[in-house]
Amino acid sequence: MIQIVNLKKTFGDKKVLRGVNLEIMDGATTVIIGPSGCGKTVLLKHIVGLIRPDEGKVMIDGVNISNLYGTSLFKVREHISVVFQGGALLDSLSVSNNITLGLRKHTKLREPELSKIVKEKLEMVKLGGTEKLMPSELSGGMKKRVAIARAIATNPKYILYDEPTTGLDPITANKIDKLICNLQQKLKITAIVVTHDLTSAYNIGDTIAMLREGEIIFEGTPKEIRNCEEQKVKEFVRGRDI
Amino acid sequence: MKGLFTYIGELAFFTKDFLRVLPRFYRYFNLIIEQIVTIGVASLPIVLITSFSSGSVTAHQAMFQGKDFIPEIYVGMSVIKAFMIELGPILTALVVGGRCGSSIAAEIGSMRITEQIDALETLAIDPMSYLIVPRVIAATIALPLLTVVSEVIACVGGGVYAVLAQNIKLMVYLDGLRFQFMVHELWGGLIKAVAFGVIIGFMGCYHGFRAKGGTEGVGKATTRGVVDIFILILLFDFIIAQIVF
Repeated sequence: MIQIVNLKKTFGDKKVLRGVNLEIMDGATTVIIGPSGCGKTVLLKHIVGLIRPDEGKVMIDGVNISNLYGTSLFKVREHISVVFQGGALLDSLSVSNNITLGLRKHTKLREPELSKIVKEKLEMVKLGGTEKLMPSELSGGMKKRVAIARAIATNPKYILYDEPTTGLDPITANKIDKLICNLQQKLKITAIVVTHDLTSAYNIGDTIAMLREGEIIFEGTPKEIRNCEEQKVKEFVRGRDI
Repeated sequence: MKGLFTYIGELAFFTKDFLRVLPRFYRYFNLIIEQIVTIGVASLPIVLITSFSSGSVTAHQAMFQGKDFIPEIYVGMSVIKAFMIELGPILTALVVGGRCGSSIAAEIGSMRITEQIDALETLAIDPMSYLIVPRVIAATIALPLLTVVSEVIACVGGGVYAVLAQNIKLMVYLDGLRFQFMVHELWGGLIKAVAFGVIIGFMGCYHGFRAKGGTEGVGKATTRGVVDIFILILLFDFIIAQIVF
């Protein structure tokens, strides 16, 4: 389980997180929504230890990762994968080498086994046969799917998705949503999805948490958020000032 | 002033992180070889052109300055001494620094702003080990090798000019190359080249690694990287010359 306790972060004069408290239940998909620039990605980066909080802590399976550095932090990260907004595939590596990057570092698997994993994961994201392509030869949607394949290649316990459908057309966005749902059902991975795309949030979320003005102002099921009477939540859900 | 202290502080932390992972450089041996090819082999054409023309010009100047009162044997000696002590290391470093220092800063900077470095961290791969150490080691190895090539080609360039344009006998020019040859001058030049290699790799990586603010940030990082590389090369050229010669 991931617990975020009283997380605070300020950049310069801007207070981005003002005391975020959130619990992510194992095996479920939690979607964090909120307007652009409200600190969703900052929160996500705290969860994986890429940013350190000014106050508060992030507990992953009982371990406070905000206090970890070097090898101890890397040990925790071996159980977490992140799918970044633009995919963040390494430009200099082929699709296949991107997917096996983590495995080559942390396991002693041989080439035939690595090739088998690449093939299997690419089939899961419906990109079979693209092993030898370079990231520059892929479309935006394909890059995100390869990034998902890379994320699941290490069999993580947690996957963090940063704006997985941003910049994609509605059909491709829907495919990515379905893919996230299918993977969650097949692999039982705990997923945290950060997005401002409400359609996507309703499609994939077991729980939706809303971040606004640096705090979690709502937490509930997709049905509950649709019926929520809180003004700030209604404004965001209906897409206009009320 | 505050900016200068921040810069020194950040550079110190970057150096500390670099030294922490440096002893485990062998883990990414294949990446070091890859980078030596990228930095070394790819820089060969520009180094060859620069060295050949500079060698010819040095021979021409030696002839011109000493015409009628310095024996012709001094032409070869002037070329080899100028290149071993000074021109070989510094010309190679400035050419490679401009070409590869900017390329390293831009590449690492692009990786930073497109979250590729974050992706490495989340895959539990230390970017310092994976990206920085191989590039710094590769530049440190490639620079002395390129410098030796540069010195040889400069002597060839000087010889071609002396023999074909000034009618100096080839044996006289070759005797000049051997005349008063001192091994410590060769080593002194190579020590400079090693230092310049460290500067190019390290400062290119540092500025790329600290890039922020989108594509504009990458441009600024690249410019700062090249400027710092050039300043440090000139500074260390003076310092090492004072110590070695």
